[in-house]
Amino acid sequence: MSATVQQCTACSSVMFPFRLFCPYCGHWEFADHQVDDAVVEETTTLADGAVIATVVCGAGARLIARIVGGEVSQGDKVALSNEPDREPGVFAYIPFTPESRY
Amino acid sequence: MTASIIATGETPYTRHPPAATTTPQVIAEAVRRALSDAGLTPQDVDGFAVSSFTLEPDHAVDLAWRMGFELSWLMQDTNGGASAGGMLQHAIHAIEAGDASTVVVAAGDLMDRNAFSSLVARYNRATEQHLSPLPLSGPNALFAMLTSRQMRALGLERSDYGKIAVAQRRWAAKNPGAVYRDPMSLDDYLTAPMVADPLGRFDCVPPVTGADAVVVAADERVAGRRRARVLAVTASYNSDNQTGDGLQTGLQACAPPAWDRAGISPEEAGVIGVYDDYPAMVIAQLMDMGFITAGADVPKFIDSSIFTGKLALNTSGGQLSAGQAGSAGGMHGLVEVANQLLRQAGDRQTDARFGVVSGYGMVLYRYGACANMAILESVA
Ligand SMILES: [Zn+2]
Repeated sequence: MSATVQQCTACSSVMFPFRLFCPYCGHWEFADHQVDDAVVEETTTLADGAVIATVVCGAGARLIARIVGGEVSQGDKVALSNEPDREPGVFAYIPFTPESRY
Repeated sequence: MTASIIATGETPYTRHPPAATTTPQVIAEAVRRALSDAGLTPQDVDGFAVSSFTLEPDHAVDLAWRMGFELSWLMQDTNGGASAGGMLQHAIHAIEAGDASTVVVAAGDLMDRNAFSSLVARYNRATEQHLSPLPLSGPNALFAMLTSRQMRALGLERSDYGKIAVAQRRWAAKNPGAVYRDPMSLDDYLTAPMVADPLGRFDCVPPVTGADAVVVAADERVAGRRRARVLAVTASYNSDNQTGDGLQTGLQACAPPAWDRAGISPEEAGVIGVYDDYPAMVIAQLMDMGFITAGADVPKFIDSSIFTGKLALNTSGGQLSAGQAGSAGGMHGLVEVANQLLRQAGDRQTDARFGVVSGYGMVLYRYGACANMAILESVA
């Protein structure tokens, strides 16, 4: 289980959503980078009970996710997935389809 | 600068537009009101700028044609809550360059339930691909998390934000054009249904159908008449690549040059229109523009300056009470501040000599990326 982010092949910076030029060094070639987990910064519970979170991955990128399969608290490390319904356990779902990344 | 706002127009805002209502019709109504206020006819207009989310398949030139404008300058803006400042910035430069002398700046939207749902679902590529499938409909959850960050950073509680909403509702009672004018108590605010914690119903703007317009004219053509002279307009786009916490807006970059060019300080501003998509953003922008100084006791500022009405802030009731008419959300604040400086603000009239308007908007992924600020002076 992991989520795809974008990594600059020149300066190794990690971005999400995918950019066209690297905002840190101006380079325009990238590789996909898989991130297994991230730390929960904030959550909010919507009227229908869904929990939306901001998570920050080790390389620094902040992602907006839906928490699936259980509860998390601020500061927790949570597994990431680009699939909304994977295996049991708590994870953060981050919508992403490779064909539309640019 | 050598141009002034000489007139304004705003349609009635409505939550439930009649079935046959169209966007061009609503925008034209605001333009008609602004021209009437200016004592001008469509034949006098030689520049036109418009912003709308729901104009398609038409564009600015289609509107110009259907309103009978023969123009030497035309622009269309796409920046939502930041569209007013952007269009004003360009309009002033067009007048200074001699490209036009009488410019109508307008924005408006037909924002019924369907239009609102499709707008927020396909706001941009990032929303369409990474937010809507969560699923998420609209930016409430994003600003809920931003509000949580601001509460931690500044020691704010829900009741502090409530005081902003309640104060604006008090102003709205004096504005016949606001959609929500009934008195609201802090208790009403705190007990309203939660939308995305910590945001409740009264932290979120009601979408409405409506439009706003102003007429901007070369100063030498309008000498002797009451006008809102534009002293400065500055803008900032993508100030932090969406990598921060969103508590600072682009105003942090573009406010200092605006104060510098206008030659006044925040204390001299007698009326302020801050883009109020959420109360937290009112605080963020007041800080970025220097109305709240670094290190200040923010809860105390809210209580003593905003809640008391001492600060003439969002005197129309703002979007929180008057409504958010799509792209006209940014124009709404400009129209209100211009009305104050033109001395046509009715029961809520202040004696402000200087007015400040901020724009903020276009959520790229986590928060808004566009910000701008205009400083105006009432002259006669
Ligand atoms: Zn790079």
